[in-house]
Amino acid sequence: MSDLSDEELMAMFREERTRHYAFDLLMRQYQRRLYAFVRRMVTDHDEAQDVLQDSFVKVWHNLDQFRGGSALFSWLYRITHNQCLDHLRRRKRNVFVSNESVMNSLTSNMDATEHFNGDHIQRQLQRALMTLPDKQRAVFTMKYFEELKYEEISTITGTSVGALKSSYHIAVKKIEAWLQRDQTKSAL
Amino acid sequence: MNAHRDTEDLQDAPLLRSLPMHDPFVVPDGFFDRFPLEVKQRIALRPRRMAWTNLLSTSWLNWRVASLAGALGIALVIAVLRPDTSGDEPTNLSGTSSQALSEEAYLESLDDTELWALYGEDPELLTAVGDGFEDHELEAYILHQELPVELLIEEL
Repeated sequence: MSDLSDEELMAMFREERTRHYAFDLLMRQYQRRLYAFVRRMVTDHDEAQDVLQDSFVKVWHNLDQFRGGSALFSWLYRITHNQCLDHLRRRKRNVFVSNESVMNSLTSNMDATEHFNGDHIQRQLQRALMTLPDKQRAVFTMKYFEELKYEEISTITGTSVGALKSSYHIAVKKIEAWLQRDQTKSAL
Repeated sequence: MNAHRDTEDLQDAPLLRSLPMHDPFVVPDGFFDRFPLEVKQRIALRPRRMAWTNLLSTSWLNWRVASLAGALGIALVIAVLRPDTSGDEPTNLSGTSSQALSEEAYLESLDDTELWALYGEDPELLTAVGDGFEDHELEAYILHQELPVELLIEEL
């Protein structure tokens, strides 16, 4: 089944009799890409599922207000991105959980092969990613893994292109340094 | 699997540049087949949200009315719940003091065994309870309530 255009999807969604069908198509069209982003951010599948469900529920309740100022995918991504950051913020706000515990829980499930089937360097890459601040991690994920343009990321995050370039540049340096250190340790 | 494109951003990051584009996270089988249905089930549980968001439209007047109604509602709740600070000893409508009410409520919360134990510790109370009761009435009461046999000996 080929993907429908934004206009076709929105036209179907605005019709009462085809609204649910359009929403189903929309989810099937975009769920994998959005899931991949969320999973990189939270690492755990169950949490990713919750965040993504919350995002699409929000999409359902607000899609009527989409006016086409940006691509539909950017709009969906923006909602998902914000839901992700909210989720991570709520997690850290739990007074009974230290930041170190949050970090450990975010990386722990990567040790289990049923959750992660990458090689050593990919595991280390994900670990390095988890050391970045949440917003910077989101920018890095969108640019490096999703290969989105800076203009698209700017629409999604509400941050200027210049700030995004700076943030991504710093993130690349940090992660590269992490990977280099790990390689040196492994060689010794 | 393709390597990441040799972009300007990754010029000084050879390791990052060399990594293949591979998603290492394992997704449970059938997840993406089930996911749309699970979302729709969640939406079906909250259909009213649609009507609510329609009420709170972008109309400026609606927001003003909603804010005013909210403020009035909060003021009403505060007025109703505000404690009465007049007088030295707060009383209810029947004139009973709050201390007497709380003692009464405490006594009513006790079961018979606890009540007897309480009266047993205070001879005056025991006398007061015993006043006006015949022995056979007390015996019947103790047996009916299945109280300890020792009370029979003490009472009678």
